[in-house]
Amino acid sequence: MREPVVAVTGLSRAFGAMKALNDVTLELPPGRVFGLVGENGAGKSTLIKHLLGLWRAETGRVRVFGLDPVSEPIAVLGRVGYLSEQPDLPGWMRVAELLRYTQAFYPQWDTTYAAQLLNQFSLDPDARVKTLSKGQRARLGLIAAEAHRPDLLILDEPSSGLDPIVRRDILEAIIRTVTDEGRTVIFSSHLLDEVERVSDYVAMLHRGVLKLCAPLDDIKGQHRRIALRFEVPHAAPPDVPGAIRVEGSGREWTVICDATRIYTPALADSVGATIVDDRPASLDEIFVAHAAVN
Amino acid sequence: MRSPTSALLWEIWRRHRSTAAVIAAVTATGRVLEPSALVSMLWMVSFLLVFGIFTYPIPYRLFTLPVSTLRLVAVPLITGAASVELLNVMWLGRFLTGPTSPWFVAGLLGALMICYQAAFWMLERAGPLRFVVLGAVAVVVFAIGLAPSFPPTPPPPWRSEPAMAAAVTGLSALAFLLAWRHTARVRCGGGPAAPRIEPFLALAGARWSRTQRAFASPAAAHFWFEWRCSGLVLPVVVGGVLLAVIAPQSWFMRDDADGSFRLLLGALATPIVLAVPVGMAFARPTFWSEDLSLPAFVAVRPLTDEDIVAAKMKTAAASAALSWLLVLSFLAVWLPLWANLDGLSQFAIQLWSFHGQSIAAVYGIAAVVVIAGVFVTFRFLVSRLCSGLSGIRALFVSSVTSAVIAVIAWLVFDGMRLPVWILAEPARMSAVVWILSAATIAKFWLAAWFWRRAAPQHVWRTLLVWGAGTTSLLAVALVFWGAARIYVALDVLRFKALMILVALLALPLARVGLAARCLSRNRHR
Repeated sequence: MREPVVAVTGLSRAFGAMKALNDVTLELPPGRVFGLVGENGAGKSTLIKHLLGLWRAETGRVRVFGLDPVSEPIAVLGRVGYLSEQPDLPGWMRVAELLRYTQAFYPQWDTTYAAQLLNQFSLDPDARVKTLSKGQRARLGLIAAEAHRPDLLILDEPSSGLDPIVRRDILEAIIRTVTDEGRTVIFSSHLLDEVERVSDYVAMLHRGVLKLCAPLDDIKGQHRRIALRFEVPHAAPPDVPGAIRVEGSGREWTVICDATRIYTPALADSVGATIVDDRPASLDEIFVAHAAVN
Repeated sequence: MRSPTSALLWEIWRRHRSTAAVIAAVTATGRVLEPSALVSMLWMVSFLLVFGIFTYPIPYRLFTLPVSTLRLVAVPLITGAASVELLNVMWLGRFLTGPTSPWFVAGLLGALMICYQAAFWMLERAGPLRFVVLGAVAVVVFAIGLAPSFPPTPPPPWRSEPAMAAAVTGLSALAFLLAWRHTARVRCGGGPAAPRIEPFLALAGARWSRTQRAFASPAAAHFWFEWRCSGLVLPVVVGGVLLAVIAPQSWFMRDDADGSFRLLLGALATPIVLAVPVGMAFARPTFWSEDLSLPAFVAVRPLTDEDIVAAKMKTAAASAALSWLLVLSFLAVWLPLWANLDGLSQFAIQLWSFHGQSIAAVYGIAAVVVIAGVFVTFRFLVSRLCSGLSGIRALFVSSVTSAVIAVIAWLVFDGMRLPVWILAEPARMSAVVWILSAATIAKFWLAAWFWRRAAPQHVWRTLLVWGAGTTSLLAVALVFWGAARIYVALDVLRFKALMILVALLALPLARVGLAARCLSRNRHR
């Protein structure tokens, strides 16, 4: 079995009374796109900072490529590309200078590839970073993160606040990265449709707790969305066995449930309703259901 | 708030009310105390703080408010002038009670504030270079203020106080109008002047970037980054002081031997003195940011903590060397062309007679003094790296505050009395020698402890720099000892030991080793 790219064991992190991460354990095999989802403050960025060595594990253990990113930053960060929501690129640098500066740290930097991306994104090499738009900065950050063809590409909410064309560029970068065999992507986002499009593993964080971590197909296979119609209106959500979330009003109620725990025809009989619709739940519905439980 | 003006005023007050409280406290203390060096210091601090309040760039976010540009410009400029006038009134009676009229002083201060703010806004794109221009603005305003007091007395009508008052009023009105025009132009996205210069800048930038090659190593790349962020600040400030302060004074004092000699000492002290405040900002992870955390842009680079600290130290060394190169270049022009060298010649003759009547010894001492000056400048740039890079605000603030208190205490209590007091009594000197010996042992012990995990190349490089710097300081100490023992009756051997110990302690070694660990705490929180 190939060594996991990322191995996090029992990781906890508290900021005062608030637990940003609570006993998080996960392993990420190589060659996958790992979607990290969760609401604001769920702990996604905190987890990513631990992977980059920017936070030291208070409790638990973090290994990237089998190494501690805090004690061995060169060995770990030399194989990682990182793009954050707000890439804090120095505004005084010119585009070409930034790439030249970044290139120095990565022996495997692909100059041709960087030039190709620069051309594709129509970035002026002589422009100062502070004169670029938010989308152009994201593209420049993407080149800086991707041009050394990192073994692990970490994107921390890279699409946030960007237009659809830049978001498409970012998704294409993810696809390009994983088509090179063995490369891995960690992609944190609020935009669940994007995560659904490119990820094959999904981890869902909620208030610092890892609620789900599994292949996307398994997660989607485990959750169903069932629409029920009752004979008589219900003022409160009906008690549906195996349901993760029930919402609706009157006679019409929708249930997101764990498909492994219920047998759908029996469910309708048990609650005295008719099944109007029964289909696999989308990632969006699964996310909302798990987030709403708490 | 009933009007935009009151809202704008409230914002200035809300943001700086704690500074205003400090100014009030400082002024009240100054009014209560008897006139002394401390009161002079408080007076100076209070005015510096007022200027600090109004040191901010054009408030772009206010451009979207339904407020005229005139009001956006006038409120801070007039408030600034009014604040400095108010402070002047509060200090009235304590200073400047000579022949200069208080009304003229008030006019000068108001004009200085308006010109200062206007220049700060208009030169926004010049970055740190604008401080040079601001220094020049201050010199011009003070020169106007001094003009009526130059001989002959009474001055001719064109140099009289009313004439000079009219000049500063005109100057401040011009500054106001220029600031208004500039802000209006920026508010509507630029004006006709911008396109004329932009193509040249773009062309120069393109030419420059095309000639650049790949960096030889990550360390070279990061040194370039550090140099571009902060390396030029000290040389620019030193250059500004030389041009705006020393050069004009050197011209006025061209017939004054003692004055020229004092000015020469001042020019030599300039990089060292300016390295103290610049070093406080240099110690921070980002020179121009108040945020003490290491930016993610740097933190995610595959560099060790020692590599990052080494790049900072290399930048400090290059910055100190360039600053001294500027000083030497200035001296190379000033001394042969218009300086009165009588004072310097007398000093050189004394050195010549002390050191075997050898001209080579005199030039050797001058070279050693310059080399030691470079290292002392470097020392002040890097001495606060531990606290700055740690990311602990309380530690950094206390480190800076302790330096400021030390300077104030030195001025207030006439710090030169301390060495005289120590040297006067052999027992005191002996105690100080013992204390410094213990400190030296502690320094080396701590250095060995803090450097034990560092990569050998960093250790050797630091030791090389420290060794070279300490050798030059030892040479200066021995030269000083050689001269002092002739004039002062004291225990010669103890004094020599004292000078050697001071030279050994002057350059930081353990602290630099600790800086990497402090950075590690900041980088991996």
